[in-house]
Amino acid sequence: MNSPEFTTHAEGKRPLIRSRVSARVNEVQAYGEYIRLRLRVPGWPGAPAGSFSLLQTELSRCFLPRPYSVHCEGGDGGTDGDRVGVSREDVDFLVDPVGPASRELASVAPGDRVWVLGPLGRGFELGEICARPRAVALCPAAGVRGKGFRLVLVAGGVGVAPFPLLLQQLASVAAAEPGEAVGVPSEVVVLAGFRDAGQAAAVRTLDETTESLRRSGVPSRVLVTTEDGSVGRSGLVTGAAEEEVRAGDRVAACGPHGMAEAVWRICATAGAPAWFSLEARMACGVGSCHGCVLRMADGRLVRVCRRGPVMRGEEAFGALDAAV
Amino acid sequence: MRSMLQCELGPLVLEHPLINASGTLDLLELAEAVGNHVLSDPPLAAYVPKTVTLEARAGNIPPRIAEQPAGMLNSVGLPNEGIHEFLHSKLPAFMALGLPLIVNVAGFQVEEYRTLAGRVAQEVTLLAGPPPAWRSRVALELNVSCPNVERGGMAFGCARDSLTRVICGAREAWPGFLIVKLTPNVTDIVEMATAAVDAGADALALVNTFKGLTLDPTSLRPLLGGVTGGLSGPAVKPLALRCVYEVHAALNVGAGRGVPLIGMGGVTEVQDVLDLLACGASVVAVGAGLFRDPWLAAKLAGGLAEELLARGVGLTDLVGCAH
Repeated sequence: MNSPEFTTHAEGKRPLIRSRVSARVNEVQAYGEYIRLRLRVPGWPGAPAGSFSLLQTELSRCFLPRPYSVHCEGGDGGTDGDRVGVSREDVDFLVDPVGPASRELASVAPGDRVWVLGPLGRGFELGEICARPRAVALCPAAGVRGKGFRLVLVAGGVGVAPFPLLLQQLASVAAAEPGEAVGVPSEVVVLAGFRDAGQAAAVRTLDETTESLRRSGVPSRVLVTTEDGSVGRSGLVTGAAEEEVRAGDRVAACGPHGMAEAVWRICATAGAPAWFSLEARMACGVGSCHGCVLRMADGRLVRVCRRGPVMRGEEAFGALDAAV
Repeated sequence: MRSMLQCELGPLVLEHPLINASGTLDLLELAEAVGNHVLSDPPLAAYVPKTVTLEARAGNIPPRIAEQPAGMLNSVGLPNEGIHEFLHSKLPAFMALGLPLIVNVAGFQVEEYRTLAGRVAQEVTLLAGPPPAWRSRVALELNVSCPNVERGGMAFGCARDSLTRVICGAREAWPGFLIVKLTPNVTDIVEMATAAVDAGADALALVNTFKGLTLDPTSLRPLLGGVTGGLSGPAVKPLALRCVYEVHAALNVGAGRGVPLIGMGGVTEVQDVLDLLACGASVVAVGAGLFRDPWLAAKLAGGLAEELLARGVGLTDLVGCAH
């Protein structure tokens, strides 16, 4: 489980990638409309939460691979290393079969092979998001000194994908001796919004990691919203965010661009620093093609694959004051 | 293996004939993404950086890319830091890669090509000494073929007169090996190729992307921010092969001018490399294929070596063998 050839992000080293690799599909599990793939990725170096990989089935009819958030590593829970047959090279991705490439990925079977290039991009950096309040010089609204903070995760649809890994890594931090720089949230609140029950089944992908977190002493709760009211609260996840997010919370969000913008307005108004995983049409994933640009609040066009996919709300959508 | 693949592009000596097409591999960004090993052991035989222009450019508004059957359209629009920043922040790193460098420039007025060529020559000379010291290490490629800028770019490569003036200007300011990258979006590519060589091009790169259009399936309006885009990928391979075949037939087989051709267009497999070599390319560039796999050029070089051994032929035997 802890073989030395891995250089993990948690150990403070950048992942080293020597090539695109052919990964075996080890497990396929449906969560309602979404498909969770567990791939055995030889030499997987460990991923920062929120980073992505380019995936493409080996027999794909599509020309380009597609970016997918790293969903989880080493099995659903993974922090205690007692899962039989699960290796640190087992990496999960959550696929929403909406287009030709994602439908190919969603229809693979165990034993099939998928090309993987990753992990790539900047993710949710725990050292920054969970920095102890006194260390958060850059965000003066980040809470009362010494009183800790809540972490609120906001997911829209398949945007739930990066959060099991984030919770997994947070549980590891909480289980270890708390460091100087990274604080442990007083509570984790997950707000997960879906269209209907078919999508909301994906909230179960959070079960094992929220349980790990509880075992590590961090209370957590998951609040589901559906647009048709079939599961959880009726309405949009932004409605739940409006009620939940308060001054000093740290917020990490992943979902459609419109949801992200709305969540940022809520966070900015409340005085809660927030980080967003953004997306754009992408080709190379490594900064070569300049295809995946998004316009930032200051007018710059930046490559999502290199500057992101995770960016601070201020950078993507404008300063706290301007957004209010 | 290596010696059997070694080849020459004018004064440049390449370990193997696989390089990248301009704008498809950013080694500095790739190194930040995957590690510095791509700088100490670059996965190509020569490096062609992204096109640089006189002034910095932000590029076109998104969306910039759209997948197509067997390829992709791009409307990136030559974003770059401008020649000043390029020469100071990137050129030294590129010259330190330990493999031949092909600097690619584009202008928006005829005179800009001369200026760009002069600026690059001056800076390379400052770094490496007078031209005889670097002619085997640095070449210049003129991009007269970008379909994604409003003016300039491809416009120069579509008319014999402007093409001639652009190349003559650059030729006077550039003492090294000069490559001209042509657009396939012309009535007669042989006419343009002939004009380019007459004006002083030492080699030709064939071809840039094919101008195309795609619509948003819902709104039925153009999908790309730049409206039209350039098509690349396996879809264009037969079109590119035709261009290389005809230019080689006219210039090298017919007129015996011995102009080296860099062939590119939809290269993703070893067979594509063989086909381009057979049509007359002596060097092959990988373009959009690098978006799937940044190490593709190096992998194809390995596959090419195996293919030569299996066929019992040398690399030079293949070049132009389709004629």
